[in-house]
Amino acid sequence: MTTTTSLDLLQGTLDLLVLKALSWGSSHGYEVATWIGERSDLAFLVEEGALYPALHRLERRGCVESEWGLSENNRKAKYYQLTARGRAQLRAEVSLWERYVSAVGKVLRTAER
Amino acid sequence: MTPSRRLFRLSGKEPGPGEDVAAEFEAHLQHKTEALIRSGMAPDEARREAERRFGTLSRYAAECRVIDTAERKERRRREWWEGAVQDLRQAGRALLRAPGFTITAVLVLTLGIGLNATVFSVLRGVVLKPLPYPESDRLIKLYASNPKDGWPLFSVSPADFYDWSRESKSFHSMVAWTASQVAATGMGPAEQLPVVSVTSGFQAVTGVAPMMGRGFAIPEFEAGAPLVTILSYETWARQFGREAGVLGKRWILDGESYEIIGVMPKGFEFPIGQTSAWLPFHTPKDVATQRGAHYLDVAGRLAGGATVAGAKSELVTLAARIEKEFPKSSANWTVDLRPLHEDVVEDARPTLILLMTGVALLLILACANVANLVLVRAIGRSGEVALRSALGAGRGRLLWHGASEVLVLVGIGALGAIPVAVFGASMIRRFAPEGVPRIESVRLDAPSLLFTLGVTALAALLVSLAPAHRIGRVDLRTALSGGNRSVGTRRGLHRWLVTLETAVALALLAVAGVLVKSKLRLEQVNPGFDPSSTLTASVSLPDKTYGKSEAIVQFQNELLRRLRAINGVQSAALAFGLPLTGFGYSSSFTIDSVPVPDGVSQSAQLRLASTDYFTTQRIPVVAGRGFTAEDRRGGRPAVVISQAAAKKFWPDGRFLGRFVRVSAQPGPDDDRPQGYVVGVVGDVRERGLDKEPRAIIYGNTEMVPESYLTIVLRTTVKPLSLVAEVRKVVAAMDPDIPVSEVQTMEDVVRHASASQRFRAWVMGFFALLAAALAGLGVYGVISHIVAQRTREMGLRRALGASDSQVVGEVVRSGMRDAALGTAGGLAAGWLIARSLAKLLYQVAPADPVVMGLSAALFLGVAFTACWIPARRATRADPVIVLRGE
Repeated sequence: MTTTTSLDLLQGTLDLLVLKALSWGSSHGYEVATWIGERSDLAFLVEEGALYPALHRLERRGCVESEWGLSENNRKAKYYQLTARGRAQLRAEVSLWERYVSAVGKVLRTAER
Repeated sequence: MTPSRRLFRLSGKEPGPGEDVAAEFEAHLQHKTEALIRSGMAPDEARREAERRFGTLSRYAAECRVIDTAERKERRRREWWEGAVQDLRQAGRALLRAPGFTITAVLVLTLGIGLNATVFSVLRGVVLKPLPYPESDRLIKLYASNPKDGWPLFSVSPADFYDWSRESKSFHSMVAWTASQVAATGMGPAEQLPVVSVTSGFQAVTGVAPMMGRGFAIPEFEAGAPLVTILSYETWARQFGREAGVLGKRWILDGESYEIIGVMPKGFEFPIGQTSAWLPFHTPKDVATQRGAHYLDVAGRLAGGATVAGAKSELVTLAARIEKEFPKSSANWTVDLRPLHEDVVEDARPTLILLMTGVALLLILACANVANLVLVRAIGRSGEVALRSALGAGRGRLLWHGASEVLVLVGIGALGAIPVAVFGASMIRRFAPEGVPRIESVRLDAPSLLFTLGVTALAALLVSLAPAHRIGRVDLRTALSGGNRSVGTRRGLHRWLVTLETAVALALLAVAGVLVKSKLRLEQVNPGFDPSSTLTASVSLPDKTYGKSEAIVQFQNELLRRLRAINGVQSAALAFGLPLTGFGYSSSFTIDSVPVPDGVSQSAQLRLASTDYFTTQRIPVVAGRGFTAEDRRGGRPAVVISQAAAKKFWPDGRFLGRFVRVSAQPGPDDDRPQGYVVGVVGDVRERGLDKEPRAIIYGNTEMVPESYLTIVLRTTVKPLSLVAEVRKVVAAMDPDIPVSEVQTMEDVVRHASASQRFRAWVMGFFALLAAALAGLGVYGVISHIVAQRTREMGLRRALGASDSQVVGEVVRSGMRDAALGTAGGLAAGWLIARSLAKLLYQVAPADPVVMGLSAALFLGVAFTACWIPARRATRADPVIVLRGE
């Protein structure tokens, strides 16, 4: 697997993961990165900075909205929050992803021609 | 949008995308560093590790900035649109709350825009649209030209035409044609139809092929060839019911049977105007002898690379050679030419430009009125504007807000203008004077609609300038604190509106006045005959049955006998060519067979008249006698001359008994008008009421039998009540002879001044509309000023000023502004009228009576418009006014 293809693949996936991360409530970029990092091995594949274009893209598409606020340790941070549209998008993408995984899985599990 | 962001937008500058992203990334790095330190890393190392895990900072920042910039742009556009729509909706609601204002403004704009669209669609259809031929800009109209004798643009003789078309290299092809009326028979009642005989260049010059069948073949132009015809689409549809098998059928025209060989496509016309069918022009056998007979129209298509100037110089050289070769017939004759399009639209252009000027001025008035109304509203809302401004609304936003009402008004006005323009165009089609080319094709089409849109945009711009001007000057403190009570003398724009409206209205009144006076003058002209109670109708005898002169003479005499027997006919006569109809020709002639010296022109207008013609038309016989029963075929030949001819050619007064012989005329030699002068009759305005009478020689209808004759009846009853009788008489003699051009002589005279009347009516209508609009405008301005000064006036009345003093002051101030406009308006009117000098008859562009009356009329309107609102102000009780708000 070359790096570019993995990134291409990851871009869509990253959007989905970011939406999922935000589905628990509003959080800033670092929290999203940590949340994803703790639950996957993506950290080995993706730099943390890659998250930000994903966040901004989602904002442009109206899936999230942002607001500056203070983090728990009193630092200024930009908080992101899902919009109604983002929630719908998340639902749609999750179901799409599941169908995709099961379809690909079925093929890969087939033993014979 | 979140509330906080909205606050952001209002309270100041948003941070640029760059700063925002940098801060966000820094926050991330700090959080990460802290977390790493907490897990036991040294601070320096922790920061480095955080940066390593983050990746290439600059790359991600750039990516985010691109996304953010795009997002911002989209958001701004969306917000702008939402705001704009909201403003429009608000404007609509506000307009509904002020129906009086809205209806007035919309009506005024509808009228202004609609009339502009109407006149533009006429201008486009008649003047601007290219002619309906491929590469029509290469088509040129050619004229024989004899400026020395006063014929700068004259018909062409066949001999000249054949020489030109054979020898000219500048032309790809040339066509000559002559139009005539023929009787179509064999298909119901005989019908008179306009046909055109064309030479072989017809197809090459027009560049249009028949839709069905074929064009003319070269042998078909030979004299004696089998007769063929090509139909117009309209004839095919109307006369033949679009029958597919029409080709090869025969059609009887003037008693001759023609084979139908083709049908031209829909909308094809050549020349411009209605033509029912085209026939081949049969080359005369004696072409060479016909150099002096000018009766053909000629057009040509320029060869590739040739220019109009080049073609002209080539033909002028050619004409000089012909002149040298044939000094008798061609002395002083040269060539002139101009683009066919110019030739077609020439006469209509000044009228249409005049109308366009008129409606443009009307639109300015309409805009000025609406601007004033909008301005008054804007002043009434200064408080609201100031409030918005204080809350941080930008200047652009305020301008848009102010303009949104205007846009709604102009939009509705433009929609309303479309039916106005459609109606207007149909009115113009109906009432335009005869002879306006292509008038029947005038429609409100896409380009005219586009023009209307442009005009609308311009109107909106002009009108919205008014409140914009206010917004620039709103003084926040005054507007917010004191309402409008303290508005002082800053009414500059208002007063200018009064001046402008006065000027425009007066300019139109003056121009219309001059045109109306010209029309009245023209209608007072004595045409030289008495048009009352006179009926005319034309008959044309088919050559086949009446080819022999004797047959024509017999028909004439029998016709006259039967016409005289009709009850209600006082006297009856026949003529070849009626005055003021444009029909007839002029020719050179000899006196006592003395050859006219080379280089001298001796020519007159030719007419034929029967016994009783002069009594019937009431043209006075000044000397000698008119035609009588003794002037018959085979008798001593006689001619009658007009006073102008007597004065011009026999200044010694010894004209009686002199022998006059017309030298050139198409037709057999014996039948040329010739004879001894037996009498002199009064002058008749031949070519137009505004043209001085020319020399006329009258031949006798019996001695020069023509197959086309016009019946003239003086009646003791209403002339048109005899039409059926006349038709019956002709049909009883020969059912194949059509009766056409039935009209009274009064109609003929009316026709002759139709253009003048049309211009006078339309401009008069525009001028009255302008006066009304301007009056309305002045009324509006003064009402507003009075409304603003009610308190002041109340105060002054409470302090002892009399009503008339207060009224007088308001009226005086309004009239001062109007008087200023009067001077400008009269000057503008004079300038416009001066450019119309060619259209005026015996009226100076600066006619003092017209100018004085126009000024008096409009100042009267302005006075009334000032006085009514001023008067109203004095009715209010000063106590109430002073106490109230």
